[in-house]
Order: sequence, then structure tokens, then C-alpha cells
Amino acid sequence: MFDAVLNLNSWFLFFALYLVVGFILAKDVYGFVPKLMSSIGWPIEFTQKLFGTKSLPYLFLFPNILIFGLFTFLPLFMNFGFSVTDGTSINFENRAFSGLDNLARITQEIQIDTGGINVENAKFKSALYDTFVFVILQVPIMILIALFTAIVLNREVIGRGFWRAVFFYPVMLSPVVVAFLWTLILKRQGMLSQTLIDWNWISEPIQWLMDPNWTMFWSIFVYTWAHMGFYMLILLAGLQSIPRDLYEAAQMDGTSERRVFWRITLPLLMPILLVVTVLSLIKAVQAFEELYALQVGWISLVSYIVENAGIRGQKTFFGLGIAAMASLIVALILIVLSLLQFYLTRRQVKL
Amino acid sequence: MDRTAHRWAGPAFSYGAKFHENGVPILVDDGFKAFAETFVGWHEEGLMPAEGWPAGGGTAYKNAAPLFLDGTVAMHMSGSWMLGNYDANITDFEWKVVPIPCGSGGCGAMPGGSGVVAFKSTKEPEVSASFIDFLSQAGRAGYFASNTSNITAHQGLQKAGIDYSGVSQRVSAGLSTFAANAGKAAESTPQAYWFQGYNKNFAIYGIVPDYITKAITGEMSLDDALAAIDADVAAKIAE
Repeated sequence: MFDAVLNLNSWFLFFALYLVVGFILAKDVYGFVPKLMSSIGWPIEFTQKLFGTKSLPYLFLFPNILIFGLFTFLPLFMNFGFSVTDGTSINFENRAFSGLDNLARITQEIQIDTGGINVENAKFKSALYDTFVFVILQVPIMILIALFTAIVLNREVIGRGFWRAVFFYPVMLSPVVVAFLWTLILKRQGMLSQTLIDWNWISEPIQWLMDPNWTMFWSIFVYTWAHMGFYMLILLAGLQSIPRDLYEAAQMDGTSERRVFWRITLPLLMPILLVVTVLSLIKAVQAFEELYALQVGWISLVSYIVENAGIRGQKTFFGLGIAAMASLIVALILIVLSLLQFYLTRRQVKL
Repeated sequence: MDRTAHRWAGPAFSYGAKFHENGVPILVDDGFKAFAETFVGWHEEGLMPAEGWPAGGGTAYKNAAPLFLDGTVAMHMSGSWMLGNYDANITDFEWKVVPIPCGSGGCGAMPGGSGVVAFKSTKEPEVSASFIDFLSQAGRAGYFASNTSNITAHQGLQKAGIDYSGVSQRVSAGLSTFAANAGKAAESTPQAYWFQGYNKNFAIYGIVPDYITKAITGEMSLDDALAAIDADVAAKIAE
């Protein structure tokens, strides 16, 4: 049966049958080409006849909604389910309802199952705190550098296209490749330590990625290096959308460059700058791939979730629920940030 | 030493760590603590490499083979699967496999080929049992180990040694040393076999390096790290 379906000749037969059905059902139109088109598109025309024109758009939306629902909405609701149940299974029949126990497991001083000290509480708090520090430092630094680079590359510099490509290039690299490159440089016996020792700047090699004094610095550095180009490109497009005549008018009035920047460029770029800020905030809260592959000395919120979910290593009885609960807390942060973006872009439209 | 409690457990057994009582994990006891102190001390002295355990983050496994291959360390504690790699890739120095050191608690090593098992839920228990019986006959077990370069779980063969075919003399001798270690561990540190078979052992493999590393880097005192290991393991195995 399946052999016959897969057979090329039978495909041809099916298509012929399809056309014949189409020819019978087709609209009464004149001319060969319109008739052929009508015969090929008979399922659409037939559905339209059956359900009317008004409901047709929903039919077109249906496949997308189906996939979206299956892979986005369903996991979302399942995640809610996981966060209030316990067990290693992903089948809800084998998971017992536990209410807010998982919240207690990651926020209380006493572990509710063992009665001893709760290390999960400290881990989650430090993931939350470290991610907060990362976001607060990384986002402004990256926006400033991206803005500066965009302004420089918006000028008539030699090899402008080349420089733009250079700054955008890291965005196209896989996060794992980025991490691998920087590991070669930043590991204890890596290029950075070796070079600094050759220059007699340090006497002992430093484990840049794990050293508590350096891990956050290099996390921010590599993350900014990898993502800056994307935001630079958006800002560059924003800069180019500022009407030239404003600059010409300023020039005719003899306005200083500094004043042009503060009074024309920055105010007109502000809406895009706001969007870029919120987008990079959301991205930074979700920071994971590069940091995980680099094996930095702190755990980001998303690393914490991956670590507990039992995706890598062994599943634990409460792990999935804990991970789901932590992911809801991240979701809450992201919802606030997204609402902020929504609000800011709305205000921008009003302006 | 690779960054996992699977390796770390061996010397801890030798220092007298029991690891369990009637099938329930009790990780931190006097033996465990004694080895933890020694192990952290080795890092302070510089005997153990800073590129090893301290270079790994969280519960992640870290392979120490590159450190032995490039000569950073003089000894690598790992399993028999390394032999092929070392035999093929080490050309500029001589190396050999040595027996596991013994301590007051015995000669501890996590077993490699510790046994042949069948599923408890199998529909064909008799057939499975007869197949295991078939494989475990000395002659066949020896033939299998010899031709697949596996270390054998057969006690008699572990003692007698196996003549491995198709591998270099040094790999053959190494495999026999590994098999003998497994036999010695079975007698002197039976907790190694319990830990190997414990169904939640993977959680422990990660938790131990996570906190011991923190004690090495000075992020935590050793006492706090040991208390955290106990608390974390208890929480991870709780149901």
C-alpha cells in the first residue's frame, strides 16, 4: 500500500485524478488558462463555496496556529502543570499535585523534604543575583558601544562596508563557536595568560573564566562582543532614517557637532534606542548558550533551569518541578520587560 | 583526575568512606572528610593541576586526559577506555598503568565492567538468565574480553589475567591491571559496587565536584562544602 503511494507513477495518477475532480468542480470560466487555474485550486474554491469568504482567512491561519499551539502554547501550559506537581515523569498521570512546594524548595531556608539546610535556595538566589548584576552591567555597556560604533560607521570612513561587516560578523557565529574561540584565549594556559606572562605583567596564569574577580567581566565582555553587532545594525538603520535636511539646517546655522548630537541625533534616535534597550534587556535575562559553553564561574538563571530540569545528567524527583517554577519566575521578569517595551513603543507612536 | 565523583569515590573508599548504610547514601563520614581534606590540600600544594577540578564549573564533568597527553600532569586517574587513545597518541614519553593505591579502607576503585545485567521487567526471564550464564562461562567471558579489549567482570579471570589479542603489550598489561583493580575493589571496598549500581548515582557524581571545587578555590570552607554536599544529595535523592 505504502509502496504504491511512494511510487512515482501513482503520484502522477493521483495528480491526474486531482485535476479531473478540479475540472468537474471548477467554476464556469472561459479560456484554457483560467479553467486550468480553477482546476488546480479547486480545494480552496470549494472550501470558499462551502464556508463563505469570511471564514476563509481563519482556514489559512489554522496550520500556523496548530504548530504554534502545539510547540508554544501547549508547553507553556504544561510548564504551569510541571511547576505545581512532583515526579520524574512528564506524563501528568504519574505526577502528584504539590501546590507551591516547588516555590518553597527554591526560596526557603529549610529544605521541606529533608528538614536540613536548603542549598537550592542559595543557588537560586545567587543565580538571580548574578543574572541581575550581569544584566545591569552588560546592557548599558553594550548599548553605549553599539551606539558609538553605529555613529562612527555612519560617517564617511574608508572601508565602511568592511568595518560594518567586521562588527556584525560575531552575530552570525554559533554561540558554541564563540565560546570555543574565547575559551582558547581565556583558559588558564590560554593565549591571554601566556601573553601577559611574556610581558611580565603577571607571574602566575589566571583562570579568567572561573576566577571570582574576573568571571563576570569576561562574561560581559564575550557576550557583548557576540551580540553588539545586531544592535549596532538596528541603531545604524535608525541613524540613517534621520532626515538629512535637519543636519544641513544645523550646519547652516553653524551649530557645533556636540550640540547637533545632543539636540538632533539623540532625540530622534531615542525611540529606536528604547526598543534596542528593552530587546537587549530581555536577551540578557535569557543569557545562556555562550555562558554555559564557556563554563563561567557563575550560574545564570537559564543555566539554573537547564541544570535542574534533568535535560543533562540524571533526572531527580523534584528537579523538573523546580526548573518549571524557576522558569515561571524568569517568565514573570520577561513579561514585565515586554510590557515596558510595549508601553514605550506605544508612547513612541503617540509622539 | 577527571572532574566527577565517579573517579573521586575510588580514593575516598581507600580512605575509609562508606558512602552508604543499608542502601541509603551517607556520603560525608570520617573517611570522606579525610580524603576531602587531603584532596583540597593537594590543590593548595600544587600537586593537583589548577587546570583540572578548579577549572570546571558547577556539576560539569571535565576530562583530564588532555592534561596527561600534553604532559601537564604526571598521572591520570581514569578508566580503561583511555588506553587506546594514549597508545595511539602518546609518542614522546613512556607510560604504563599502575594498580590503584591502597589505604586504611581498602584498595578503592569504581568498577568498570562490573557485570552483565538483564532487565527485571523482561518477558523472558529464563532466556535472559541462560544468556547471562552463557556469557559468564570463563572461556567465553575470556574470549569476549580478549577480542573486544574489555576488562572482565569474571572474578577468576580478573585474578588470572587475560591475554588480549590485537593490542600492544602495554595496552594488554594495562587492561589486566584494570581488571585486577576491579577484583581487588570487589573484595576490599564492596561499597564501590553499591555506588556503581545505585540508581541515583549520577546526581552525586556532579554534586561532589561542585562543592569540593568551591572548597579548593576558597569560595567556601571545607566544612561548609561538606555540609552542603550532604544537604544537596539529600534533597536531590528525596522523593
